[in-house]
Amino acid sequence: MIRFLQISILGLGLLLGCDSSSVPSGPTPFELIIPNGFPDMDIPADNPMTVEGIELGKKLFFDPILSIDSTVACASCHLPEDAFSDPLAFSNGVAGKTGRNSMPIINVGWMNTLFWDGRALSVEDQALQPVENEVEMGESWDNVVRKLQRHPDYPELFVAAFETSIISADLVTKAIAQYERTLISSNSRYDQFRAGAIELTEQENLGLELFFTERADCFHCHSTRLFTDNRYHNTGLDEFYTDTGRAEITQSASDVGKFKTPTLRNVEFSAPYMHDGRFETLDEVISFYDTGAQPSETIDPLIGANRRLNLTEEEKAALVAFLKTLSDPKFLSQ
Amino acid sequence: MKLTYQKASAAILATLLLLTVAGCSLFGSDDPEPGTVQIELSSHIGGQPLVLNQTSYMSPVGHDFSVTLVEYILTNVALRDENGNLVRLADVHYCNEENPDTHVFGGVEVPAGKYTSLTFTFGVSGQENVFGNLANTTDFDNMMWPMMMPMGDGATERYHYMRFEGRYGVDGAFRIHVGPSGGSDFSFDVEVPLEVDLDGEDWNLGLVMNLDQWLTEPNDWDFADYSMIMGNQAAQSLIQANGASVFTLGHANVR
Repeated sequence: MIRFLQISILGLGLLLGCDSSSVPSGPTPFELIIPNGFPDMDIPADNPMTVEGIELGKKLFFDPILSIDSTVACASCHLPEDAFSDPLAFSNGVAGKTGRNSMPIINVGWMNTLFWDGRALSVEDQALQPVENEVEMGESWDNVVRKLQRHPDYPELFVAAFETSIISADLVTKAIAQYERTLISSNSRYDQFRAGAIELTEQENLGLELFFTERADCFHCHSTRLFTDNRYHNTGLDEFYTDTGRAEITQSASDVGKFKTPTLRNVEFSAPYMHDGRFETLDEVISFYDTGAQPSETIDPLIGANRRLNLTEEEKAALVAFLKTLSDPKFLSQ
Repeated sequence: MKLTYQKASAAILATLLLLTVAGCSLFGSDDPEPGTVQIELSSHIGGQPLVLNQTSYMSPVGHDFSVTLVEYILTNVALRDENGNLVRLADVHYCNEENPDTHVFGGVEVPAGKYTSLTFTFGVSGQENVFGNLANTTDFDNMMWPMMMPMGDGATERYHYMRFEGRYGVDGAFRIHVGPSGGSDFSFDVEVPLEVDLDGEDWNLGLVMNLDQWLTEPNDWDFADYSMIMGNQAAQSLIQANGASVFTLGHANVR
């Protein structure tokens, strides 16, 4: 009888074991679809993408809880409808205006450095910095963690995403980075043209030819599918720079006036332009590259102090028309 | 009896040991063994390592110049042995002077033998030069040679072979971008002589790109005439001819 009971209990245990093993445990892996022709994306091994992690990251991205007075979220300066950038030249932080224009958050999963000066070496690192920036969010990570830990929803969401209710700055930034890696823009009219699905207009085709030849020579910095080379250039905006850009990070005189190339995807919606938002329209930008470059010791050879494109009005208009083919309205609604 | 058995056992053991040692000597250790070969790339001007952005150099036609960017692609990198056989070290390699991670490649196993040269194609030849053929990385993405550049067939995007950029004179700039143009692909094969007798060692071969040679022999390069050359078939032809003397062996060491 005792032996029968032992066998029964063992059998029940096995049944329960089988039952419980069929219930999925842990966060759900998320397979990121890489658009055709895009480079492979390096996703950090210690931050694999999951459905729950992305959902949590999205909630955090739009939640002003990260700032000291709960007035500024990531999305306050990176507005989806403005190509995840800011229509203001300098964004409003908790303590005034930021020092540079907010870069668009588009296809950042392919970027190994972020910010205009490249001070962040990963998407996670980029997400870490604004919280403790005195102007932007003015908060300490310890306080952010305390607020999230006390929140009625977040502890449970962190359990779902990372299998722990103990929240940390590391996990917050990992979640935001997971969400940001999903912000992929790849369905513009240009992409459809490349896929053979549509034709461009005559004007857009002229713009494309100017863009991708040394006539206007945009493509060397705004390369291929990403429309950024992820490098730093002094484009001749000024003869002397008060904001020295990349040099602030490298401390190298050869980097004075260099700023990271922003993507041109959705550029129609990411005005104003340049690191200081000095140009309000694409026409102004093209006029600058046409004849406005200022000489300096670090001006990029791709620009050249003496280089003048001398574009006709027709060519300038064609370039603008082509740039607008990079707009991806569905992306903006994310 | 016991003593005799012990003696016999000792004799057998000694014989076995002797045979084992002799066997190793006769049949094992003297056999040539494979090793590895890695390539270490560097750029020089005037026989000295290039210093990006800083040092001012002199071109053959008298221009002061500095270099801001050097990146290039090598393909079909191989060692040639004394019988003319090729041993492949790498199918393709991208080098960016600014990124030390791209300066060393290879490290693959190579059979024992006497090797007489290092061979490769500068750039990406002919039908291989179709955008998307190389590894799908942002480095290769940045080397895109757009579809609009004249190639003759107008078919598709390709790859730059080299981007060599800098400044000259008071406020001049040059952008020597090498690649296909006007129906010619302008890649070229290079053979760098060396003497490597490989037998089990791990070799490190230094391949030097002498940047100043791009600017001379046989064609002295005037930045004022050729500051940007992508769509210029004649200029691509001139720079290709200069390329013949650009690469030399820096060192050949056992690591």
